Amino acid sequence: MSQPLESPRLVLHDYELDADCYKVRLLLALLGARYERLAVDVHPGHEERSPAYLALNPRGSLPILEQDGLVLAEAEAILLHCAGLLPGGGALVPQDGADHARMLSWLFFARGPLAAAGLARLHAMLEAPGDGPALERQALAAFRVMEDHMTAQRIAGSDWFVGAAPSLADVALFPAIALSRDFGVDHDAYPALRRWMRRVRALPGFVTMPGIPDYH
Amino acid sequence: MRERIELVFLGVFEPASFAEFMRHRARRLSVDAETRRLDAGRVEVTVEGESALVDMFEVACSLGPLDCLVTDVARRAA
Amino acid sequence: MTDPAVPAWHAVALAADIEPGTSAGTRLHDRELVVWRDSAGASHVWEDRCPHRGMRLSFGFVRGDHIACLYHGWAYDTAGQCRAIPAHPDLAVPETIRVPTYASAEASGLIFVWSEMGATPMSPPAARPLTALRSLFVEATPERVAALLAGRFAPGPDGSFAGCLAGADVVLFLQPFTAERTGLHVTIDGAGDGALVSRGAEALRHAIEAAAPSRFASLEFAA
Repeated sequence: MSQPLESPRLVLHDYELDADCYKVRLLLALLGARYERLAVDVHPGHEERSPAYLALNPRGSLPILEQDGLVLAEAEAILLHCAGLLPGGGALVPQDGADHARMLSWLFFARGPLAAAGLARLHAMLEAPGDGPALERQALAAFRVMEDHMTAQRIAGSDWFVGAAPSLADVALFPAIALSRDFGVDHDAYPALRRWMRRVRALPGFVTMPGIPDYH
Repeated sequence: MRERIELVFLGVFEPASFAEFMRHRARRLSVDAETRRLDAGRVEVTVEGESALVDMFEVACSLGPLDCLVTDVARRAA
Repeated sequence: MTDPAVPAWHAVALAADIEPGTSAGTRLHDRELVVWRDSAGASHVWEDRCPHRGMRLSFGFVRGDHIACLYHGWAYDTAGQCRAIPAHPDLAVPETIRVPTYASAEASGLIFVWSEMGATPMSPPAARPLTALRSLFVEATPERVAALLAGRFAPGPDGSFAGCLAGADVVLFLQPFTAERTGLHVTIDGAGDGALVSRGAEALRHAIEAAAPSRFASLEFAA
């Protein structure tokens, strides 16, 4: 009888309320992956900036993934790495070259223009520094880009951000709009995103987090 | 199950505002509320109706309108 | 059509955007409304507030022909009547616990609401064979949007504006959302490329938002 293949050992340094950590938790749940979750005392302890954590990740950020000796920061890099590594992950990465590039573009959008939504949320919830109104304006601009895109996708017959199937783009983009009520932005003006969020919540393995209802 | 109780609210009230608030909530919850005393520091009301709705009336009035502050609520059978 | 004091039909959503068993929040003249569709397929528009603690019902969930509040699960039937209070399962909920409702109707692939709460309008919204395409929201006052559109489109019933956009005949339905935001529900009259018209509507939105009051006579955008 052959030995089963060893699955990768994953340790996720995580904070429950962090939207970037949730991206990784969501992907791992969609893939049915087993991992060890280490809770980091971000608020009020700032543990991610402790000497021990800075030694692990000098950026002082979360999430951090440890996998068999590899230490990786930045949620989107972790998403890509896990999708390449774990069974079922390939289904969330488009094979088509153009769609693959589109997916990457959306991952960078999630860290670029859409990052204002995460900062607006932290400012509203945890009094993180920032210009609240300016962050909200930037977040609304990013949400409008997403809404127009998903409207075009719906007209073209697709339920997802890239191509005709869910991808890492959907995982990376979901938390910011799903949690927008945390900084006072409701979903009244986003019918296409509401439809898409319902589709995301219906994916097998979907997990929620505080602030995101899990019914659909 | 119907019950009849007396509620005593202590706090800082705008009497007309609190009275109107109680009338509105009593109407919505289909309970009978009769005000026995109404002044800036103390409100006494007799409430009668379905038990669960009487409880809701008590909770609703404990929160009260924005211009009233309820600091204490006492309840006894009428 | 933008005067809150004059009752009228206003489009508030594409019918297809309110899927069975779902709800959404919207606003009309800055009043919060919930638009929801029961499992039988009928749509409803109510005041968006649970009588219990004021939570927005649009945050709640639809189960069959009831909508329930997220807070404590108070459940309402299609007439707005509270039917169940989970914390008190044996309580016969009095009829006084109800949500104020609005008359609503579906026409041209859109959900319309009659802006006067609880009133029964004399006639339904005009039924026209249009193809509903999308909604979008303009960060501009309803009055400004109406004035800018009137320069290039023909105003019609139920907040509508008819004209040409991206090479297609369109009818745009204006929704006075708040004092500072206006909804536009885009329908196509006859043939048209939905993707092109949708992008044309985005260009229109941009032009409206960029137009300063002194320039509203000249509205430059890609036709």
